[in-house]
Amino acid sequence: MENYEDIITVIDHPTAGVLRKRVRVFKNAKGEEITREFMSRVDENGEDIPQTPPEN
Amino acid sequence: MIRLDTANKSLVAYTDATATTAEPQFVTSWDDIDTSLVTMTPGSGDGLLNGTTPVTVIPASATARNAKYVGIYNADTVQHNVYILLLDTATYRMLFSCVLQPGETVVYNDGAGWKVFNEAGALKTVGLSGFSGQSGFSGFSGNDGQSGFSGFSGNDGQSGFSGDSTSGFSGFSGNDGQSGLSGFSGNSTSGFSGFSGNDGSTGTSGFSGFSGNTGATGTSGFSGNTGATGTSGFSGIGTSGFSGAAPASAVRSIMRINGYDKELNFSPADSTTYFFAMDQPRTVPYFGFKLAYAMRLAAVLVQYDKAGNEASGESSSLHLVNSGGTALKTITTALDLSTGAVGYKSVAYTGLNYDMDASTQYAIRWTTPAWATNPTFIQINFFMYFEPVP
Repeated sequence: MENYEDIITVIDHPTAGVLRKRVRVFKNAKGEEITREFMSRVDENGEDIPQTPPEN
Repeated sequence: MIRLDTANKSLVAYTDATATTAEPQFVTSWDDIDTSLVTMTPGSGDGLLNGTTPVTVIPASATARNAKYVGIYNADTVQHNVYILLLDTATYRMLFSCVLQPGETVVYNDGAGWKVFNEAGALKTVGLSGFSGQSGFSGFSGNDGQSGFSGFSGNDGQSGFSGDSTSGFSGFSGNDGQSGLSGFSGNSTSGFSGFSGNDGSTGTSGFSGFSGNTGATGTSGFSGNTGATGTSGFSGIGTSGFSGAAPASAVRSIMRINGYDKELNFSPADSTTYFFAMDQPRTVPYFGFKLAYAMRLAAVLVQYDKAGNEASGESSSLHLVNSGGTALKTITTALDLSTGAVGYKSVAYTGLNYDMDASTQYAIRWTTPAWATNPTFIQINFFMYFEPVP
Protein backbone atom coordinates (compact mmCIF):
# COMPACT_ATOMS: atom_id res chain seq x y z
CA MET A 1 0.00 0.00 0.00
CA GLU A 2 2.61 2.41 -1.03
CA ASN A 3 0.19 4.43 -3.11
CA TYR A 4 -2.36 6.43 -1.25
CA GLU A 5 -4.12 9.70 -1.39
CA ASP A 6 -5.54 11.76 1.45
CA ILE A 7 -8.90 13.35 0.93
CA ILE A 8 -11.13 15.49 3.12
CA THR A 9 -14.66 14.21 3.60
CA VAL A 10 -17.44 16.39 4.95
CA ILE A 11 -20.21 14.71 6.97
CA ASP A 12 -23.42 16.31 8.06
CA HIS A 13 -23.96 14.31 11.19
CA PRO A 14 -27.53 14.38 12.55
CA THR A 15 -26.38 15.21 16.06
CA ALA A 16 -22.74 16.26 15.76
CA GLY A 17 -23.30 18.62 12.89
CA VAL A 18 -20.86 19.12 10.05
CA LEU A 19 -17.72 17.10 10.53
CA ARG A 20 -14.59 17.24 8.46
CA LYS A 21 -12.37 14.20 8.34
CA ARG A 22 -9.22 13.30 6.57
CA VAL A 23 -9.38 9.89 4.91
CA ARG A 24 -6.49 8.05 3.33
CA VAL A 25 -7.36 6.14 0.15
CA PHE A 26 -4.99 3.33 -0.69
CA LYS A 27 -4.60 2.37 -4.35
CA ASN A 28 -2.88 -0.32 -6.34
CA ALA A 29 -0.36 0.19 -9.03
CA LYS A 30 -3.08 0.75 -11.50
CA GLY A 31 -4.43 3.58 -9.44
CA GLU A 32 -7.50 1.62 -8.40
CA GLU A 33 -8.73 2.00 -4.88
CA ILE A 34 -8.05 -0.94 -2.64
CA THR A 35 -9.23 0.37 0.70
CA ARG A 36 -9.46 3.48 2.76
CA GLU A 37 -9.01 4.47 6.39
CA PHE A 38 -10.03 7.26 8.68
CA MET A 39 -7.00 9.29 9.66
CA SER A 40 -8.21 12.23 11.76
CA ARG A 41 -10.68 14.99 12.26
CA VAL A 42 -9.71 18.27 10.67
CA ASP A 43 -10.85 21.79 11.08
CA GLU A 44 -11.99 24.18 8.38
CA ASN A 45 -8.41 24.94 7.56
CA GLY A 46 -7.52 21.29 7.07
CA GLU A 47 -5.52 21.08 10.30
CA ASP A 48 -5.71 17.80 12.27
CA ILE A 49 -7.74 17.74 15.44
CA PRO A 50 -5.90 15.37 17.81
CA GLN A 51 -7.73 12.24 18.95
CA THR A 52 -7.11 9.81 21.82
CA PRO A 53 -4.10 7.66 20.98
CA PRO A 54 -4.62 3.93 20.81
CA GLU A 55 -4.01 1.97 24.04
CA ASN A 56 -2.93 -1.26 22.41
CA MET B 1 -71.84 -98.84 122.53
CA ILE B 2 -70.27 -95.48 122.27
CA ARG B 3 -72.00 -93.18 124.65
CA LEU B 4 -71.85 -89.46 124.36
CA ASP B 5 -73.28 -88.56 127.70
CA THR B 6 -72.34 -84.91 127.95
CA ALA B 7 -72.97 -81.93 125.79
CA ASN B 8 -69.22 -81.71 125.10
CA LYS B 9 -68.74 -85.10 123.55
CA SER B 10 -68.99 -85.88 119.89
CA LEU B 11 -67.53 -88.24 117.34
CA VAL B 12 -65.21 -86.89 114.68
CA ALA B 13 -63.33 -88.49 111.79
CA TYR B 14 -60.59 -87.48 109.35
CA THR B 15 -58.16 -89.03 106.91
CA ASP B 16 -54.45 -88.80 106.24
CA ALA B 17 -54.76 -86.59 103.17
CA THR B 18 -57.08 -84.61 101.03
CA ALA B 19 -58.97 -86.78 98.59
CA THR B 20 -57.72 -87.17 95.06
CA THR B 21 -61.15 -87.24 93.47
CA ALA B 22 -63.80 -87.67 96.20
CA GLU B 23 -63.78 -87.46 99.99
CA PRO B 24 -64.90 -90.53 101.98
CA GLN B 25 -68.57 -90.61 102.82
CA PHE B 26 -70.01 -91.24 106.26
CA VAL B 27 -73.40 -92.31 107.60
CA THR B 28 -74.23 -92.39 111.30
CA SER B 29 -77.20 -92.98 113.58
CA TRP B 30 -77.79 -92.57 117.25
CA ASP B 31 -80.38 -92.55 119.98
CA ASP B 32 -80.83 -89.65 122.34
CA ILE B 33 -82.13 -90.62 125.73
CA ASP B 34 -83.60 -88.04 128.05
CA THR B 35 -83.69 -89.69 131.38
CA SER B 36 -85.60 -86.88 132.96
CA LEU B 37 -88.43 -87.03 130.55
CA VAL B 38 -87.89 -90.69 129.91
CA THR B 39 -87.81 -90.18 126.19
CA MET B 40 -85.68 -91.65 123.43
CA THR B 41 -85.17 -89.75 120.23
CA PRO B 42 -83.52 -91.47 117.30
CA GLY B 43 -81.19 -89.44 115.06
CA SER B 44 -78.90 -89.87 112.13
CA GLY B 45 -76.35 -88.00 110.11
CA ASP B 46 -74.35 -88.30 106.93
CA GLY B 47 -71.82 -86.30 104.96
CA LEU B 48 -68.28 -86.22 103.63
CA LEU B 49 -64.96 -86.16 105.38
CA ASN B 50 -62.59 -83.28 104.71
CA GLY B 51 -59.09 -84.61 104.35
CA THR B 52 -56.99 -84.06 107.48
CA THR B 53 -59.56 -81.69 109.03
CA PRO B 54 -61.72 -83.48 111.66
CA VAL B 55 -65.35 -83.63 110.66
CA THR B 56 -68.11 -84.23 113.20
CA VAL B 57 -69.90 -87.40 112.26
CA ILE B 58 -72.05 -87.61 115.41
CA PRO B 59 -72.59 -84.25 117.07
CA ALA B 60 -72.84 -83.64 120.80
CA SER B 61 -76.23 -83.49 122.44
CA ALA B 62 -77.66 -81.98 125.56
CA THR B 63 -79.01 -85.38 126.40
CA ALA B 64 -77.28 -88.69 126.52
CA ARG B 65 -76.56 -89.86 123.02
CA ASN B 66 -75.71 -93.42 122.19
CA ALA B 67 -73.96 -94.04 118.94
CA LYS B 68 -75.68 -96.91 117.19
CA TYR B 69 -73.96 -96.95 113.83
CA VAL B 70 -71.00 -95.36 112.12
CA GLY B 71 -70.10 -96.22 108.52
CA ILE B 72 -67.31 -94.57 106.47
CA TYR B 73 -66.90 -95.49 102.82
CA ASN B 74 -63.74 -94.64 100.84
CA ALA B 75 -65.12 -93.09 97.67
CA ASP B 76 -61.66 -91.92 96.55
CA THR B 77 -59.40 -93.54 93.95
CA VAL B 78 -56.53 -93.99 96.40
CA GLN B 79 -56.27 -95.61 99.79
CA HIS B 80 -56.63 -93.55 102.95
CA ASN B 81 -55.91 -93.96 106.61
CA VAL B 82 -59.19 -93.23 108.38
CA TYR B 83 -59.27 -92.07 111.97
CA ILE B 84 -62.43 -92.01 114.18
CA LEU B 85 -62.04 -90.17 117.47
CA LEU B 86 -64.03 -89.11 120.49
CA LEU B 87 -63.85 -85.37 121.02
CA ASP B 88 -64.46 -84.24 124.58
CA THR B 89 -64.47 -80.48 124.67
CA ALA B 90 -60.98 -80.03 123.12
CA THR B 91 -59.47 -83.43 123.77
CA TYR B 92 -59.34 -86.13 121.14
CA ARG B 93 -59.39 -89.80 121.98
CA MET B 94 -58.67 -92.27 119.24
CA LEU B 95 -61.42 -94.82 118.87
CA PHE B 96 -60.45 -96.62 115.73
CA SER B 97 -58.20 -96.26 112.75
CA CYS B 98 -57.65 -98.38 109.71
CA VAL B 99 -56.56 -98.33 106.10
CA LEU B 100 -59.36 -98.20 103.59
CA GLN B 101 -58.65 -99.15 100.00
CA PRO B 102 -60.86 -97.54 97.36
CA GLY B 103 -64.37 -98.95 97.71
CA GLU B 104 -63.84 -100.29 101.23
CA THR B 105 -66.04 -99.42 104.21
CA VAL B 106 -65.36 -99.34 107.93
CA VAL B 107 -68.48 -99.97 110.02
CA TYR B 108 -69.24 -99.58 113.65
CA ASN B 109 -72.36 -101.36 114.87
CA ASP B 110 -73.54 -101.13 118.36
CA GLY B 111 -72.91 -104.51 119.88
CA ALA B 112 -70.72 -105.68 116.96
CA GLY B 113 -67.83 -103.26 117.14
CA TRP B 114 -65.62 -102.05 114.21
CA LYS B 115 -65.33 -104.07 111.04
CA VAL B 116 -63.87 -103.39 107.61
CA PHE B 117 -65.57 -104.63 104.47
CA ASN B 118 -63.89 -104.84 101.12
CA GLU B 119 -65.23 -103.52 97.87
CA ALA B 120 -67.20 -106.71 97.38
CA GLY B 121 -68.85 -106.34 100.76
CA ALA B 122 -66.94 -109.17 102.33
CA LEU B 123 -65.46 -108.81 105.75
CA LYS B 124 -61.89 -107.89 105.35
CA THR B 125 -59.20 -109.82 107.15
CA VAL B 126 -55.62 -108.86 107.38
CA GLY B 127 -52.83 -111.26 106.50
CA LEU B 128 -52.69 -114.84 107.39
CA SER B 129 -54.51 -115.62 110.50
CA GLY B 130 -52.35 -116.68 113.30
CA PHE B 131 -53.04 -119.54 115.43
CA SER B 132 -56.21 -119.14 117.19
CA GLY B 133 -55.68 -118.58 120.78
CA GLN B 134 -57.50 -120.34 123.42
CA SER B 135 -60.96 -119.33 123.81
CA GLY B 136 -61.38 -117.15 126.71
CA PHE B 137 -63.50 -117.91 129.52
CA SER B 138 -67.03 -117.26 128.93
CA GLY B 139 -68.08 -114.16 130.56
CA PHE B 140 -70.45 -114.05 133.30
CA SER B 141 -73.92 -113.58 132.37
CA GLY B 142 -74.91 -110.15 132.98
CA ASN B 143 -77.49 -109.11 135.36
CA ASP B 144 -80.85 -108.51 134.06
CA GLY B 145 -81.17 -105.16 132.72
CA GLN B 146 -83.53 -102.59 133.79
CA SER B 147 -86.87 -102.91 132.45
CA GLY B 148 -87.38 -101.04 129.38
CA PHE B 149 -89.22 -97.90 129.22
CA SER B 150 -92.78 -98.25 128.82
CA GLY B 151 -94.11 -97.42 125.52
CA PHE B 152 -95.96 -94.31 125.03
CA SER B 153 -99.59 -94.68 125.07
CA GLY B 154 -100.27 -92.41 122.31
CA ASN B 155 -103.73 -91.16 121.89
CA ASP B 156 -103.12 -90.92 118.31
CA GLY B 157 -102.75 -94.54 118.06
CA GLN B 158 -99.03 -94.79 117.86
CA SER B 159 -98.20 -97.76 119.76
CA GLY B 160 -95.67 -97.30 122.35
CA PHE B 161 -93.19 -99.83 123.22
CA SER B 162 -94.89 -102.69 124.80
CA GLY B 163 -93.65 -102.79 128.25
CA ASP B 164 -94.22 -106.39 128.86
CA SER B 165 -92.67 -107.56 125.79
CA THR B 166 -89.66 -105.44 126.01
CA SER B 167 -86.88 -107.38 127.28
CA GLY B 168 -84.64 -105.81 129.74
CA PHE B 169 -81.36 -104.62 128.64
CA SER B 170 -79.16 -107.40 127.83
CA GLY B 171 -76.62 -108.16 130.38
CA PHE B 172 -73.11 -107.26 129.79
CA SER B 173 -71.35 -109.50 127.46
CA GLY B 174 -68.60 -111.47 128.88
CA ASN B 175 -65.09 -110.54 128.15
CA ASP B 176 -63.72 -111.71 124.88
CA GLY B 177 -61.33 -114.48 125.05
CA GLN B 178 -57.67 -113.69 124.65
CA SER B 179 -56.58 -113.80 121.07
CA GLY B 180 -54.13 -116.42 120.20
CA LEU B 181 -50.62 -115.50 119.15
CA SER B 182 -50.23 -114.73 115.52
CA GLY B 183 -48.02 -117.02 113.56
CA PHE B 184 -44.69 -115.79 112.41
CA SER B 185 -44.32 -114.79 108.86
CA GLY B 186 -41.72 -116.53 106.76
CA ASN B 187 -38.36 -114.96 105.99
CA SER B 188 -39.65 -113.35 102.88
CA THR B 189 -38.24 -109.91 103.47
CA SER B 190 -35.46 -109.03 101.09
CA GLY B 191 -32.41 -107.16 102.26
CA PHE B 192 -31.86 -103.58 101.38
CA SER B 193 -30.23 -102.86 98.07
CA GLY B 194 -26.81 -101.27 98.18
CA PHE B 195 -26.29 -97.67 97.25
CA SER B 196 -25.24 -96.91 93.71
CA GLY B 197 -21.65 -95.72 93.24
CA ASN B 198 -20.77 -92.20 92.15
CA ASP B 199 -20.53 -91.49 88.45
CA GLY B 200 -17.05 -91.42 86.99
CA SER B 201 -15.45 -88.18 85.72
CA THR B 202 -15.95 -87.14 82.14
CA GLY B 203 -13.11 -88.22 79.88
CA THR B 204 -10.93 -85.83 77.85
CA SER B 205 -12.24 -85.03 74.39
CA GLY B 206 -10.37 -86.66 71.52
CA PHE B 207 -8.38 -84.77 68.88
CA SER B 208 -10.30 -83.36 65.94
CA GLY B 209 -9.76 -85.07 62.63
CA PHE B 210 -8.00 -83.44 59.68
CA SER B 211 -10.09 -81.53 57.15
CA GLY B 212 -10.59 -83.23 53.82
CA ASN B 213 -9.05 -81.95 50.57
CA THR B 214 -10.95 -79.38 48.54
CA GLY B 215 -12.91 -80.90 45.71
CA ALA B 216 -12.26 -80.06 42.06
CA THR B 217 -14.17 -77.16 40.49
CA GLY B 218 -17.27 -78.28 38.73
CA THR B 219 -17.83 -77.89 35.00
CA SER B 220 -19.56 -74.71 33.90
CA GLY B 221 -23.07 -75.10 32.67
CA PHE B 222 -24.05 -74.71 29.04
CA SER B 223 -25.12 -71.32 27.73
CA GLY B 224 -28.78 -70.98 27.03
CA ASN B 225 -30.15 -70.63 23.53
CA THR B 226 -30.54 -67.20 22.00
CA GLY B 227 -34.00 -65.87 22.50
CA ALA B 228 -36.37 -65.25 19.63
CA THR B 229 -36.30 -61.87 17.88
CA GLY B 230 -38.91 -59.54 19.23
CA THR B 231 -41.71 -58.11 17.17
CA SER B 232 -41.03 -54.76 15.53
CA GLY B 233 -42.91 -51.84 16.96
CA PHE B 234 -45.44 -49.78 15.06
CA SER B 235 -44.26 -46.75 13.20
CA GLY B 236 -45.55 -43.52 14.67
CA ILE B 237 -47.36 -40.91 12.59
CA GLY B 238 -45.95 -37.81 14.17
CA THR B 239 -46.00 -34.34 12.69
CA SER B 240 -42.63 -33.01 11.73
CA GLY B 241 -41.37 -30.40 14.12
CA PHE B 242 -40.35 -26.90 13.27
CA SER B 243 -36.77 -26.30 12.39
CA GLY B 244 -35.31 -24.64 15.39
CA ALA B 245 -31.98 -23.01 15.88
CA ALA B 246 -29.14 -25.36 15.31
CA PRO B 247 -27.76 -26.60 18.60
CA ALA B 248 -24.16 -25.83 19.31
CA SER B 249 -23.34 -29.51 19.32
CA ALA B 250 -24.32 -29.73 15.64
CA VAL B 251 -21.66 -27.28 14.53
CA ARG B 252 -18.99 -29.17 12.63
CA SER B 253 -16.51 -26.45 11.65
CA ILE B 254 -15.50 -22.88 12.28
CA MET B 255 -13.91 -20.45 9.84
CA ARG B 256 -12.13 -17.35 10.95
CA ILE B 257 -12.19 -14.33 8.62
CA ASN B 258 -9.30 -12.22 9.76
CA GLY B 259 -10.15 -8.57 9.63
CA TYR B 260 -6.66 -7.46 10.57
CA ASP B 261 -3.85 -8.76 12.69
CA LYS B 262 -2.86 -7.04 15.84
CA GLU B 263 -0.05 -5.23 14.12
CA LEU B 264 -2.33 -4.11 11.33
CA ASN B 265 -4.71 -1.90 13.16
CA PHE B 266 -7.48 -0.58 11.05
CA SER B 267 -9.39 2.66 11.28
CA PRO B 268 -12.56 2.37 9.20
CA ALA B 269 -13.80 5.36 7.36
CA ASP B 270 -17.35 6.76 7.45
CA SER B 271 -20.12 5.34 5.27
CA THR B 272 -17.77 2.87 3.61
CA THR B 273 -18.29 -0.69 2.53
CA TYR B 274 -15.51 -3.12 3.42
CA PHE B 275 -15.18 -6.68 2.15
CA PHE B 276 -13.47 -9.26 4.31
CA ALA B 277 -12.31 -12.48 2.62
CA MET B 278 -8.78 -13.52 1.70
CA ASP B 279 -6.95 -10.28 2.21
CA GLN B 280 -7.04 -6.98 4.00
CA PRO B 281 -10.43 -5.32 4.19
CA ARG B 282 -11.07 -3.84 0.84
CA THR B 283 -13.53 -1.23 -0.27
CA VAL B 284 -14.16 -3.02 -3.57
CA PRO B 285 -15.08 -6.70 -4.06
CA TYR B 286 -12.11 -8.95 -4.34
CA PHE B 287 -11.55 -12.70 -4.36
CA GLY B 288 -13.73 -14.43 -1.89
CA PHE B 289 -13.29 -17.66 0.04
CA LYS B 290 -14.79 -20.97 -1.07
CA LEU B 291 -16.03 -24.04 0.74
CA ALA B 292 -14.87 -27.57 -0.05
CA TYR B 293 -18.47 -28.75 0.07
CA ALA B 294 -21.83 -27.29 0.83
CA MET B 295 -22.36 -26.30 4.42
CA ARG B 296 -24.99 -24.45 6.33
CA LEU B 297 -23.96 -21.17 7.92
CA ALA B 298 -25.36 -21.37 11.43
CA ALA B 299 -23.89 -18.33 13.14
CA VAL B 300 -21.35 -15.54 12.92
CA LEU B 301 -19.47 -14.29 15.96
CA VAL B 302 -17.85 -10.85 15.72
CA GLN B 303 -14.83 -10.30 17.95
CA TYR B 304 -13.21 -6.89 18.05
CA ASP B 305 -11.01 -4.48 19.91
CA LYS B 306 -10.49 -0.79 19.22
CA ALA B 307 -9.18 2.49 20.53
CA GLY B 308 -11.56 5.22 19.46
CA ASN B 309 -14.87 5.67 21.21
CA GLU B 310 -17.61 6.12 18.75
CA ALA B 311 -21.04 7.16 19.95
CA SER B 312 -23.49 4.47 20.87
CA GLY B 313 -26.32 3.70 18.54
CA GLU B 314 -24.23 4.35 15.48
CA SER B 315 -24.85 0.90 14.12
CA SER B 316 -23.30 -0.77 11.15
CA SER B 317 -24.44 -3.81 9.16
CA LEU B 318 -22.97 -7.17 8.19
CA HIS B 319 -23.91 -9.32 5.22
CA LEU B 320 -22.76 -12.51 3.59
CA VAL B 321 -22.04 -11.60 -0.01
CA ASN B 322 -20.64 -13.18 -3.12
CA SER B 323 -17.50 -12.09 -4.85
CA GLY B 324 -19.46 -9.44 -6.76
CA GLY B 325 -20.52 -7.80 -3.49
CA THR B 326 -24.15 -8.86 -3.75
CA ALA B 327 -25.73 -9.58 -0.40
CA LEU B 328 -26.73 -13.25 0.06
CA LYS B 329 -27.64 -13.23 3.74
CA THR B 330 -28.07 -10.44 6.23
CA ILE B 331 -26.10 -11.19 9.34
CA THR B 332 -27.08 -8.04 11.26
CA THR B 333 -27.95 -4.41 10.71
CA ALA B 334 -27.25 -3.36 14.26
CA LEU B 335 -23.58 -3.97 14.94
CA ASP B 336 -22.71 -1.42 17.61
CA LEU B 337 -19.06 -1.18 18.47
CA SER B 338 -19.60 1.38 21.20
CA THR B 339 -19.75 -1.18 23.98
CA GLY B 340 -16.43 -0.85 25.70
CA ALA B 341 -13.30 0.92 24.73
CA VAL B 342 -10.57 -1.49 25.76
CA GLY B 343 -10.20 -5.25 25.45
CA TYR B 344 -11.72 -7.78 23.12
CA LYS B 345 -15.48 -7.79 22.86
CA SER B 346 -17.66 -10.25 21.05
CA VAL B 347 -21.20 -10.50 19.84
CA ALA B 348 -22.80 -13.54 18.21
CA TYR B 349 -25.52 -13.71 15.59
CA THR B 350 -27.12 -17.12 15.52
CA GLY B 351 -29.98 -18.81 13.71
CA LEU B 352 -28.74 -17.73 10.29
CA ASN B 353 -29.28 -21.15 8.67
CA TYR B 354 -28.02 -20.17 5.26
CA ASP B 355 -26.93 -22.99 2.98
CA MET B 356 -23.68 -22.16 1.24
CA ASP B 357 -22.54 -24.15 -1.78
CA ALA B 358 -19.09 -25.23 -2.81
CA SER B 359 -18.83 -23.08 -5.96
CA THR B 360 -19.53 -19.53 -4.85
CA GLN B 361 -16.84 -17.23 -3.57
CA TYR B 362 -18.04 -15.62 -0.38
CA ALA B 363 -17.10 -12.59 1.66
CA ILE B 364 -18.29 -10.67 4.70
CA ARG B 365 -19.44 -7.19 3.92
CA TRP B 366 -19.30 -4.51 6.57
CA THR B 367 -21.00 -1.20 5.90
CA THR B 368 -19.97 1.53 8.31
CA PRO B 369 -22.11 4.51 9.36
CA ALA B 370 -21.16 8.17 9.43
CA TRP B 371 -19.66 8.28 12.88
CA ALA B 372 -19.53 11.35 15.00
CA THR B 373 -16.44 9.77 16.51
CA ASN B 374 -14.67 7.17 14.42
CA PRO B 375 -13.38 4.01 16.04
CA THR B 376 -9.72 3.78 15.42
CA PHE B 377 -7.10 1.12 15.41
CA ILE B 378 -9.73 -1.54 15.40
CA GLN B 379 -8.97 -5.25 15.23
CA ILE B 380 -11.95 -7.22 14.03
CA ASN B 381 -12.44 -10.92 13.28
CA PHE B 382 -15.43 -12.89 12.05
CA PHE B 383 -15.88 -16.50 13.17
CA MET B 384 -18.27 -18.42 10.93
CA TYR B 385 -19.96 -21.52 12.40
CA PHE B 386 -21.01 -24.23 9.95
CA GLU B 387 -23.06 -27.35 10.22
CA PRO B 388 -23.95 -29.98 7.63
CA VAL B 389 -26.71 -29.19 5.24
CA PRO B 390 -29.64 -31.41 6.25
